[in-house]
Amino acid sequence: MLVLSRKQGQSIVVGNDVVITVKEIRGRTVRISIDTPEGVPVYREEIHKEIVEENRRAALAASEVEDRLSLPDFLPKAKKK
Amino acid sequence: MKIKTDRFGEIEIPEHELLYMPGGLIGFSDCKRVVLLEHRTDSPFRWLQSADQPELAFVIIDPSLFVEDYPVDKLKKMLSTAENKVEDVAIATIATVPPAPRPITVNLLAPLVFDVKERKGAQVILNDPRYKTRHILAAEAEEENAASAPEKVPGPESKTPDTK
Repeated sequence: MLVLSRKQGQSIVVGNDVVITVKEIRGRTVRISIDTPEGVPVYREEIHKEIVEENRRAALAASEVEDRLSLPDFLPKAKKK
Repeated sequence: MKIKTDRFGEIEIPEHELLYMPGGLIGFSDCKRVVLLEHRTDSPFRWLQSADQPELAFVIIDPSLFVEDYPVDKLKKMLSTAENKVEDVAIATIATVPPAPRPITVNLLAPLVFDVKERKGAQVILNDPRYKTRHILAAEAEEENAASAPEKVPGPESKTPDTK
């Protein structure tokens, strides 16, 4: 792992087309801009972790799911148009 | 082509029904080739089955069935391009179905978007604090019950019966 120090306004280039810039440092918060090529998703880590975890739960639950998917108790009122 | 699945056994799928997710699912980056399968004709749920990992499948559901203002149109516009029209884009959300009586939850924060014409898709993360990874389906149904049939609203202490 590479650890760098940067001042406000300075950037880091990752590969050829990812640029990470320190926009603002205020107290304990740093504002960062991330420039990526189109289609490269950028996530806050905690959100990304939450989705990974939920996808795993869904896959695990799905591997054990019994025929619960057409019981009338959990989708009794599909939205009516 | 033949696809091996734990749930459905070996199934025959026309090649043109495969969907390709270049980035995989979030946390399942190998899950790139998938097929959509019906659960039952009377069920709003479908299956997203990996074409390469027999054990990997997800329960999915159309969010517009139970969320009034889900940003389906916005998502569709995001994915539509000059060649692809909005109507070529389909949205689905992944459900987590634990053993009863725990509620079924739906991941509204990270829906799946598919370009059904190009047969390509991705899981995207919405930047909207209204949407959670564990949206409870039963609670949604209860709210709807309350709105449409006020005489049947249970008292604050009563629990939703687990109808079998």
